[in-house]
Amino acid sequence: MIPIRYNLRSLMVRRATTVMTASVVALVVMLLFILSGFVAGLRATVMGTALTDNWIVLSRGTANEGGSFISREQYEIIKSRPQIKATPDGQALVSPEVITGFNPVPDAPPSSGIFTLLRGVYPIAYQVHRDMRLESGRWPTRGTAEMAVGGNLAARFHNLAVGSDFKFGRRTFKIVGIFSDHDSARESEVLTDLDILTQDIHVANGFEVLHVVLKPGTQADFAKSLTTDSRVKVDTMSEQEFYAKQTEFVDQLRALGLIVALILAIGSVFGAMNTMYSAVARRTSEIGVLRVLGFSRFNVLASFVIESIVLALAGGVLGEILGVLVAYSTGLASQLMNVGEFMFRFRLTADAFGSGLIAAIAIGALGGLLPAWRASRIGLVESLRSV
Amino acid sequence: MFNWIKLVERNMRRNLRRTILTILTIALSTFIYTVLVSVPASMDRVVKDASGTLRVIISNKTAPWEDLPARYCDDINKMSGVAACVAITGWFATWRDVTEPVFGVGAGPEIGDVFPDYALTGQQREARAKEKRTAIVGEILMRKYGWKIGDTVTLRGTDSDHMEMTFIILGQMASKRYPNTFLMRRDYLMAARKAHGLPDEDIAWNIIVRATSADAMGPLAKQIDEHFANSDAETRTMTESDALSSGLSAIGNIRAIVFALCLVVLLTVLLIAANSTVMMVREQISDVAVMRAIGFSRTAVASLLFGECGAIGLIGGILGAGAALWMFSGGITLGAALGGNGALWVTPAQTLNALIAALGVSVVSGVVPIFEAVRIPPALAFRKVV
Repeated sequence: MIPIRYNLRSLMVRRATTVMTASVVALVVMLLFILSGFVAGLRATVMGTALTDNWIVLSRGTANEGGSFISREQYEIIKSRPQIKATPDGQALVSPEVITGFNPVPDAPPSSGIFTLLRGVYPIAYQVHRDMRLESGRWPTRGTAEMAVGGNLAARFHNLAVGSDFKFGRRTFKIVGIFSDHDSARESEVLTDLDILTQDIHVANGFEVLHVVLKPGTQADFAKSLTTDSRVKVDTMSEQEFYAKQTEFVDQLRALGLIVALILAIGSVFGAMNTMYSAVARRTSEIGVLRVLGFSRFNVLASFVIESIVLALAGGVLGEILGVLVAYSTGLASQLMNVGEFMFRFRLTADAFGSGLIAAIAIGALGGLLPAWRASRIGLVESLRSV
Repeated sequence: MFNWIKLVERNMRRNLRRTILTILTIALSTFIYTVLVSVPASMDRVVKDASGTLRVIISNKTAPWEDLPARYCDDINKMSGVAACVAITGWFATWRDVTEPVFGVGAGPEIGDVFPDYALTGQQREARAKEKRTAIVGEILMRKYGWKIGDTVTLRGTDSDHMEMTFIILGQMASKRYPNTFLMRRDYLMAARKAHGLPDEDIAWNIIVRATSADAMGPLAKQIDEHFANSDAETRTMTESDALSSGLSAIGNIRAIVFALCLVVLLTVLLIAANSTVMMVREQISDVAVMRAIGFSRTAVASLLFGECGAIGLIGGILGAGAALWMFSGGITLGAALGGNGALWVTPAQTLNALIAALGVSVVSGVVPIFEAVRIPPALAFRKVV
């Protein structure tokens, strides 16, 4: 094999083109890196809402909480299932809930409006969603116009501090607590008393969704008992499955970003090709000398491909460093962003680093292959004539 | 001038492979840039179009996705400054499978008076009155699903129990402002809901009112909200453009993301074009020396090299921006995000903007290498060659 030192020195000789080609790859990798961090943050926020052993019950055929309706009669039937875990005092761990839209700054101009969710619950919800922790204040008392605000929402909107009043619907609510939930989507929500909320919103004699905690190993029985009971028309699935479905929109966002990155990556493959063709053209005589020294055509081909990969890899590393710098200098890594009703933070993951480097290697390999092939096909006589 | 063009063209053909690769890279980047700059422009277009209407949108004050009683129109019609009022109930559905969404808008016969820009013909109004299953469909939706006038289509709701409804396509919406709209009769939708066991309530998602004049819109909005204050469903009334702005801002900060992406694309083009120019200048340093030696001024030599950069940028830009215009000038749907109003359009203005950007970036990329090349004294340049 031709020593890799030879390739490194060749890259150093043509510094300007090396830096520019590496910078193009760096921009593509930076884009991918930031996209990965963005998607990872959003996905983790949504998936963090799911708990093991927690299942969700929606009316049949409904894909989201908002479009579902479960009557009180159905709730009573479901609540009596033996598969549902109970509190030490014998209360079934079933949380009936209703949701509606919540504008944290109702008086903001329309062009800067943001909507998140207001969830009406009974106190049992604090045991069903057992990862929720009070950071300050207390939970809303049943039958009173009080609210507890998710930590991410409270961090972004200072008008939602404990002790503040908030006008919603036809009444004024008192904010009595701030809660955390491992940075999950629930931290973008507001909780209030279910009966008070249903006086203001349009849910007649029922609920929109039930969250239940099942005894370990009873999930299949629970699902079967609901599908065979003609009195209830509901679908049930684990919270993990439900929230995984909710992240489909994240995949759509990711796909759009990937299309942009892919088109730019093709552009950078062309850029790398240009650079490597130029390198081959300038080093025809060197190729001849290498062949005379006994290196095979394959050695020459491998050497140029490796050179191209090293060049792109340098760009990849630069892109990731740039990505981290951009994330921290612009506040991307610390500020809360929102897509729809979800508030989330950019998240650096091993995947983001890995996929950036893999993309760089692919760009280098694809961009270097044809010029390397050309280099390996240069005849000995032709190359030595140019010495 | 002719000789100048000929020289530029000859220089470009000297290393045809590099020229083609650079043009292709610029074309790809310009394509992406054109589409990206069209996203905020398309959003602005939707809001701007709406600002010219005399409509106000009434939603539930508690939260915009809570319902309103459809009977509110009876009271509103009696108010001064009202030209027409219509209750709208939406229905999310799919056609053959979940990848083919349709957002149905159920409305009564008043819809034609509230939305004169729908341009419903007298014949269409009559046919709607006679046949409850009729639907009038926006241009992009018709094209997307290959529907024709007279087709019978069955849609499946995405709500509980996947209620199915059958429609006869009565016509294509003449206005291009509503490319995704699927307009159906509201009474047909409400009857289907009732037959499906859903609560028998005359509810509307929104109530839309057309004012008699622009001056009447503000007082009318105030009058409506005051009239329904302390009722079971209090109202919040906004102009149509404000309501659309609010919907767009709720999606997230798209403008900032698009701006950042555009910046990355432009930087990529700049670097690729600069890299290509550096290689081009390096190869032509001997020519530069000869031309300088036989009396060409620095400006003349630089103009040749800049001409080559500009030509590459222009061809790449025409290919990329032209492809974007060709693919998206008819618009593609933005889904239900804008309530069926919006689409992504690439217009000649955005194409020109992208073309200028590609040309500018290509020329700018040549500044440093070209000035360095023409500043080398001919004797020194010859030495580099020899």
